[in-house]
Amino acid sequence: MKNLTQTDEVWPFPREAKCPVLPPPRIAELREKQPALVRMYDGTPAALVLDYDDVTTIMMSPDVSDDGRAAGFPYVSEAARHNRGKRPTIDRLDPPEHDIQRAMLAPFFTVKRIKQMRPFFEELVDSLLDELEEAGPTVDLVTQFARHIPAAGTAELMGLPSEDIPRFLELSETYQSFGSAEEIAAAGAEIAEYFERRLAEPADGDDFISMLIREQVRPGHLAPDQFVRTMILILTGGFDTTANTIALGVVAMMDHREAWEALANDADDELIAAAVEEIVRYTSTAHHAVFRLTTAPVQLSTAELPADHAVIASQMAANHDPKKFECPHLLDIERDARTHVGFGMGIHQCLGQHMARLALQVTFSKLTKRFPRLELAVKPEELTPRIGLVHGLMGLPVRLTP
Amino acid sequence: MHRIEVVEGKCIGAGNCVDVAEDYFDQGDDALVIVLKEQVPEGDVAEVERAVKACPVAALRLLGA
Repeated sequence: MKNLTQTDEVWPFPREAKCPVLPPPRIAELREKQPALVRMYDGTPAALVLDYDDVTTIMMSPDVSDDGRAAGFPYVSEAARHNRGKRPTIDRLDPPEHDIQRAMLAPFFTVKRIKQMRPFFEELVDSLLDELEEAGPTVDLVTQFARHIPAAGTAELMGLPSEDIPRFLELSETYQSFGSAEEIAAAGAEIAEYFERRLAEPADGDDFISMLIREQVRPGHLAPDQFVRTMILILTGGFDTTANTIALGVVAMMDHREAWEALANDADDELIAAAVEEIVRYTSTAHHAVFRLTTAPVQLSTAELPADHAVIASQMAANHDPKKFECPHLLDIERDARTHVGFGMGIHQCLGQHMARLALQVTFSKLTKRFPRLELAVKPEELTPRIGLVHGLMGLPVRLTP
Repeated sequence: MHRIEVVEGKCIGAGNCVDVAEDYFDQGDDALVIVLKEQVPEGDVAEVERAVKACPVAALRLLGA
């Protein structure tokens, strides 16, 4: 067995200031030495797995646990650890409990059901583009455009009133940040109160929340606190990731202008599905997501991990593994990137992935066609990255019609 | 001819097979996979293979491929 390369570095690694999109350069340096032993914020040692095949092995192995209640489970921050004492939701749960809860939610996220939301997204994006055009020529694509798309989509899917969206956006961004544990707990508590109120109200609608309360919570299949925390999970999972993929995807295409132009000229949307897979691969916004603990020895291509060992399976590293994706630092919208792990692999793969795909396809198709000459209003190195569980940008100033 | 096989008890209803090859796969009301056509002619093998590979829990196999 090959020993783990010892490092005293703390995960997550900083990104290079000049490059807001690509993974931290340290990842490429450690590729030859993986899995490397890194430390979490509290000193917990964890194996950092970067190889595509090894990352998928970790995500699919029955000998790897996602139950955050176990001693030695790697947490990325004090705030992330905060929820440990509470009853877990599907993102930190193993089978069989995980499978029972996922089965309650999966019917609301099927390909067919999400496809029915296409007219909703088309109308939404058209109206946001109209507003951009009026506000232009220089606008902030994050605050004036990107963040509203998944927020409205998630609210539509869940059946949340649209007037509540702005407050949910603020709360969700705080909840996913690396802010103080108190600040994050307060944001979580406010979202929780909202859904606790819903539990007390009649649940006779055909929307997701009413149906879940009526069919799962009231008969006792899903505990009220688990319901509330599942709602927080879906809300925060849906809001940030897609918004940031839009913002970072635009930055990536400004650096690969031929991709932008190809989509602008793609009248029948023949390129858009593959382009979105490539953008999800390239931007990998869920950059710190896969934390696990082995329950038995796990054989990787690079080493054997012992039992009870903390692991970080880096999705962004797998998505930029040159053995899997040739010239990974190039955005090539014609490559087949469908096997990327931007939405994860294994039983915890993203529940909302088809809504994300639809939202991104509609957004990039319409944005490139409406503003084919769009350009950044600042240099890429002047963009401020958002530090948090989801990678993104604080703002993205662009000129719509230079 | 190749044949699609579903590994019993593995599907989690992620829907990737439907997204990649909707002529061959669908999801039931419980979100779980329904194979629409078991037999796959040579011309569709690449598409179905892509759908099989997209399954996050390896619940699908393409036999004879």
